[in-house]
Amino acid sequence: MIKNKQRSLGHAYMIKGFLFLLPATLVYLFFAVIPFFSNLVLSFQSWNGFGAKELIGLENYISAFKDRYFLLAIKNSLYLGFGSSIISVIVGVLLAWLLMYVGRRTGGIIRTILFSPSMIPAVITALIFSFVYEPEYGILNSFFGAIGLDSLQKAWLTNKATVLNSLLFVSAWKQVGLTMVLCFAGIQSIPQSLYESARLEGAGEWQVFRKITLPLIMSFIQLSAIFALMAGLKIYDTVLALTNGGPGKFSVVMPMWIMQNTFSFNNYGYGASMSMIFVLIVLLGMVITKKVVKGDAYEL
Amino acid sequence: MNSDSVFTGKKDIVVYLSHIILIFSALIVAYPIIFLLFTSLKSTQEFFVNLFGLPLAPVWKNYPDAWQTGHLNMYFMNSLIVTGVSVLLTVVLTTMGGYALGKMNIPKSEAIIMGFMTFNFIPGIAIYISLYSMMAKMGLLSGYQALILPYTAWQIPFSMYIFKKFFETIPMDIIESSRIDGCTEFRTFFSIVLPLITPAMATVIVFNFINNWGELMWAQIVTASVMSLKTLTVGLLNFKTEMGVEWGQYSAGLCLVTVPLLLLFGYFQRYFIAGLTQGAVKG
Repeated sequence: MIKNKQRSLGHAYMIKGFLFLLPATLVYLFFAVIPFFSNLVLSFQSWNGFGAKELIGLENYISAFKDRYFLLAIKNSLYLGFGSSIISVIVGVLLAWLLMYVGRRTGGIIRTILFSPSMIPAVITALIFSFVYEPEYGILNSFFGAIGLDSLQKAWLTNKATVLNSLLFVSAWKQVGLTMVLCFAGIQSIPQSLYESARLEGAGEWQVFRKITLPLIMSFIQLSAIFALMAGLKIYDTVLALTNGGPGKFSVVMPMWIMQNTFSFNNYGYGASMSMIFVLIVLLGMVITKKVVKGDAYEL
Repeated sequence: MNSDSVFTGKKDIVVYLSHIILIFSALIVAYPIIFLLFTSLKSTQEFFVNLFGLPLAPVWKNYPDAWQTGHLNMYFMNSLIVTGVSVLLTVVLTTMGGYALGKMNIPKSEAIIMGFMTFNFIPGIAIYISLYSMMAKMGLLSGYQALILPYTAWQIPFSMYIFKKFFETIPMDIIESSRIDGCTEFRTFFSIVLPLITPAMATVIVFNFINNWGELMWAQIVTASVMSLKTLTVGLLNFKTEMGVEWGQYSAGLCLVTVPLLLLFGYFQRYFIAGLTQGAVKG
């Protein structure tokens, strides 16, 4: 009897539960899920935004792979994605490790500073960097001039040899703090007793890092690698504000080329097909990162 | 973590090196912003002769000038309205949804939230193209709702995930006893459960605020035809051309949008980080 009553009570809560969940679900369906699937359909159509949509099969996809700017954009986005992921993980993990040797107060201040770029909109950090890279009065060139290394002065953002790495630096600069903070959280969750016993057995600091810290924070490293990769692959604001894809189209990235084709050239179907390829690349990048950076869960 | 309690003896060199490297990295990150602050108080003439030093004759006028020339007033208000309302709406929708998934016997709740989270990884542009034509057809593109509604929606997965995780930690007894006392589910939710989840609330608000405040691509798409909706991020893109070579003013404008943000978020940073690490436990 009681059991039955409990079950029917549970059932009632379940129905109410679905009612509670409904508004969020509907809003998300309408503004994310449905547009995505309609985008998938659109990717097989030709549409200029006004007239009738015409089904053209795989034609958009075929043109995408013949579009040399799209291929260049894929290459650039991959470079920025994997590049900033690798840099920010290496630097971020090292900084997180070094934070352990610094007192709580100093460490807190340094953490706050290093993390601050993650909280400023990318447009603003890009504009700040337009100051750094400005060829005549920029911080970087003036600095080289001041210490007598004029030969290192470059037109950072208009020179093909330096533009991608200049963008990569901004992207990594923005991501490092996040990696560091995540890995630091991981390090803090490691029990002190593990360190103490390792040190008692005479392990050096580097050994302790390699043998204890690193393996135990792998899941945090994996997550930060994925975050950094996503940010790099989807990078748009920074590139738009700093180079707008230039010089020429040399630093064009995927979202930028898709935006231009869709909303400036009114090739909605074509833009949709490229955005689907973009989705696949992002998912693939995520799977690869998960495979390469194994985040085994350790029982602590 | 207190270094003294963890280590003893021979790691002095490691400690010194750590300080040097960390302080150096912090300087690399902070320097562009410090440079900006200095420059914001220099006249254009002073900028050219005194690039790195402290401003010798501070020009405070750069700030009101930048606010005016850059139309920052309008952009700022737009961003504030759009971000404020969308964050509020997301919080309302996802506290309810998270509570339902965490505490109301919904079958496969873990799979449901993972579905939301997976979808969250899809790059925005794959959603924007069709959404734009959908919203155009429904006449939704001309007012604030053109930005508010999508922003509200896109923050749902992460926020609901945080709330679900948090609700799960609240003991069932509290809720059941209130239910048994005859409270309606709404009453239980608002008077018993909601006060218990302030930390999660803070995380979600800070996190969503940062994301919506900084959003650029959708805002660009929408405001291309409706100029009066331009948010701060879109407006700032034209900032440089509007300012010309007035470096002092340009820096002052950037400081106006950066420094309050840094102070505010610096204060709330731990909530932001808490959100990220909670999301990290299973991402």
